[in-house]
Amino acid sequence: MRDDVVTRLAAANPVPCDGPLHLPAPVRMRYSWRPVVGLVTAVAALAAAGVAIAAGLGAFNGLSDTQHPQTGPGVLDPHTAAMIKNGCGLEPNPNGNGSVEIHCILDSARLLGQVPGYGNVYVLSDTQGDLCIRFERGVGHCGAPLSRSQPVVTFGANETGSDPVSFGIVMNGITAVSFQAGDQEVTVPVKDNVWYYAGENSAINDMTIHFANGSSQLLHNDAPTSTTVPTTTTAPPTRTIQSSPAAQSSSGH
Amino acid sequence: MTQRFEQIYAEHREAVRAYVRRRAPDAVVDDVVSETFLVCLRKIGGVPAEPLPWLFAVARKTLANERRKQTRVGHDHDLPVDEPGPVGDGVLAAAFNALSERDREVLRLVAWEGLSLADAATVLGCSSVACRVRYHRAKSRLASQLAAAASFRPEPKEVTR
Repeated sequence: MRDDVVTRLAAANPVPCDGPLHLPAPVRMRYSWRPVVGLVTAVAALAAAGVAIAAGLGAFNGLSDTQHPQTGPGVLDPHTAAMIKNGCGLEPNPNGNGSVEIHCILDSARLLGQVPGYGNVYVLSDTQGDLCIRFERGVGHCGAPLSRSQPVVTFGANETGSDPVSFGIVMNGITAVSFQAGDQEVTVPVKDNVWYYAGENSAINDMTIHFANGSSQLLHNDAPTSTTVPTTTTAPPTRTIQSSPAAQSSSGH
Repeated sequence: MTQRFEQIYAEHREAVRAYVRRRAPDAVVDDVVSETFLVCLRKIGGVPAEPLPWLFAVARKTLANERRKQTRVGHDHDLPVDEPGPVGDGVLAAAFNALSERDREVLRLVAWEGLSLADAATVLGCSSVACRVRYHRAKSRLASQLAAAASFRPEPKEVTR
């Protein structure tokens, strides 16, 4: 009766056994100063990190997945830290010409995942409490934190001589995104809040997001987009920036 | 009567609880399990000799009632309630979650509860033949979703920069 698909599904059972689950085994406690010293050290470390965590809380709304440990300048290598810092200096003004100054809080930087061709994806807060997304190679974007009305930030790149690519950051609870690619609809899984698709596609304009419970929501971006000049649009529910590593480097970020 | 109920409860309590946990957030699991066995106690005379599929069917209806109740009191905001999905396999989870609830349920019953199609039909309240058709169609759709997800290319392309 079963075949590979169902066997694979059976292996992914979220409650794999019928017996009592997650019952902690009784632990015999023995009094010792060592755990107390360890606890004090841990509390001190947490307090030091607390400021950075607090700074990132609002900006990281919807990105609270604990499987992505927070990182800081001490963890970032100097090159990456410098790249993030430089990228956070000026941002194209979403409301007009020129640039706006962005002050990123480097201590809040957290590795989110990876995008092929663009390297690691970092999220961090700025002094305005906004969410900044920075890629190891190429584009970045700062804007309002993710929310239920704006659950996705989508990036698109269309480079000469290669297929267009789209990728993006989504809120927790979104497991996949769908959009038109040519004459068919494709569904791309979300990993570590990040998705990526290479090939001609419509993700920059229209997208369906799929939630863990099987429901879905259609998102449409009404704002005009460009494939040559980095632009940021904030039209809800999808916020979009289109750029490429080449455009990024030539624009001086 | 009471003795039979106690026996059913002792033998199937954890299975019913696991069934509910696979479909609902932790916050409602206890309520749904309690309500399921309350129905079982009230209808103990009509409970079949093999009670588990029947219990799953009751739990399924109770869960549906619970969801309707949540909707009535305004809990159906933009984001859905937390419903457990496949774990440890992101591609499968995305493909599974893209299916309709109807497809997901028949696949869950076979893959996660380990029911035969005849028992799954009891839970779903349909004939064995209908359940078999439903199962095979759901399986095909899951396979199609997995094939579509395979178009995701994880490796960077050669680009001109």
